[in-house]
Amino acid sequence: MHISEGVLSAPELGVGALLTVVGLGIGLRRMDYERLPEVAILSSVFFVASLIHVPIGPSAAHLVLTGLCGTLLGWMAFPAIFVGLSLQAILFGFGGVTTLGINTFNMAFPAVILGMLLRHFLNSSNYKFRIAVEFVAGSGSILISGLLVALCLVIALGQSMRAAAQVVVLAHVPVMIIEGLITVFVIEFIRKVRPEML
Amino acid sequence: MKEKIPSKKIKIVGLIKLTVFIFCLSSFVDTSMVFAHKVNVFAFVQGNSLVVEGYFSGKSRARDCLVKVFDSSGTMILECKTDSQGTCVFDLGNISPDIKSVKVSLEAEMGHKAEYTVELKDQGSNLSKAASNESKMEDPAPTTGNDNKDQARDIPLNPDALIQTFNAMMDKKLDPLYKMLGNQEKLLLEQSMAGPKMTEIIGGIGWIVGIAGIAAFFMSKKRKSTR
Repeated sequence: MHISEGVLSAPELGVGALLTVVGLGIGLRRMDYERLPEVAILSSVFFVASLIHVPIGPSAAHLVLTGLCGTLLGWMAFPAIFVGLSLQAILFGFGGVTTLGINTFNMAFPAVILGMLLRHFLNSSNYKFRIAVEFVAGSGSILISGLLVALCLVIALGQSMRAAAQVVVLAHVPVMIIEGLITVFVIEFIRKVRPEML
Repeated sequence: MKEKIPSKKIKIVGLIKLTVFIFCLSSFVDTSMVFAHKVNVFAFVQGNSLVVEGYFSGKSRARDCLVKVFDSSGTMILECKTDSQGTCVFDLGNISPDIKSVKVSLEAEMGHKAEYTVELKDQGSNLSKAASNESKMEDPAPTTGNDNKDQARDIPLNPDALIQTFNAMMDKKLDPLYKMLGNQEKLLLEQSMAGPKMTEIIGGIGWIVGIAGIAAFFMSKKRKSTR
């Protein structure tokens, strides 16, 4: 998910940075004093989740949890993810400082859009439907983020969209399932302990 | 309407089935490439070859990645794809002896890219000479008195040829040292690629708490002024 430096062209990086600035502006305007700890906690969750690798079978993957951030924070997911990505870039060299804009947009935008679309259904009385919505919020964000990354690479490197999307979808399937399940568990847990957050 | 909650037994069986399903699925899909944070490349000269090794963070090998070798002017001189071990070997015999250093670039899927510069002036050129003289200097280490006499007879008296032979002999002797130094560098690289340590992760959380604290400070000031 972290696009490295030197891969994308300057216009792409510029557009990514601009879109992220817009997202950050909306997110910061909506952030109030009461919700600041929630944003900080989810930023920490995002920062830590994507650093701990979980072995699955012969391979390994890590969580991203952008779907959870988008569902719980809405537009405030932009500053939360931006802070997490900035620290990863500065402290560990993941991604890069110049790609911070495009990386933030690729991860935060799908989460925000899906969160906004699905948030209304989170309090549905139909248990199975609610679980399905939570699962889609978690796994869908990964899928759309991956497709956005593929699109960036198609524009920058001239790869075919079909090949790039195939790599993304195939490789992300196990992680999409895990991410969806964790989002379901976390939201259901929050429903029990802090239902006012939903 | 009361929600239908499945029994504990069904839930556990379901979870086990799901875990097995994800495990099987991941056996067919390699997620290391897309979920690695960054790719690293290491290259060294071995004999008359340039060996390039690619790793993702977490030490998994960068398989089937495009490796390009550029000279100092930025012209691509060699290209290949890494094998199942994340390795790519180039023959340095075909490149110009004027090239003193090369830049190795490894491109992985999903926008991962890394570069590494290798100096050829101290290793490659001399080693290529060593390789060319290999027929003369088979194995200088375990020699007997008679062998030494035979070798001494083989050494030409021409000063240039003598220097060349001497260099070749030195390179042959120093070859294990080159490899050892290369391995040391590789070990250091692997250490740095092992991923962030727990202390660094906690440090990062500390940064987030600090940033939230600063934001809270300014927001509280704003709240006071609006009251």
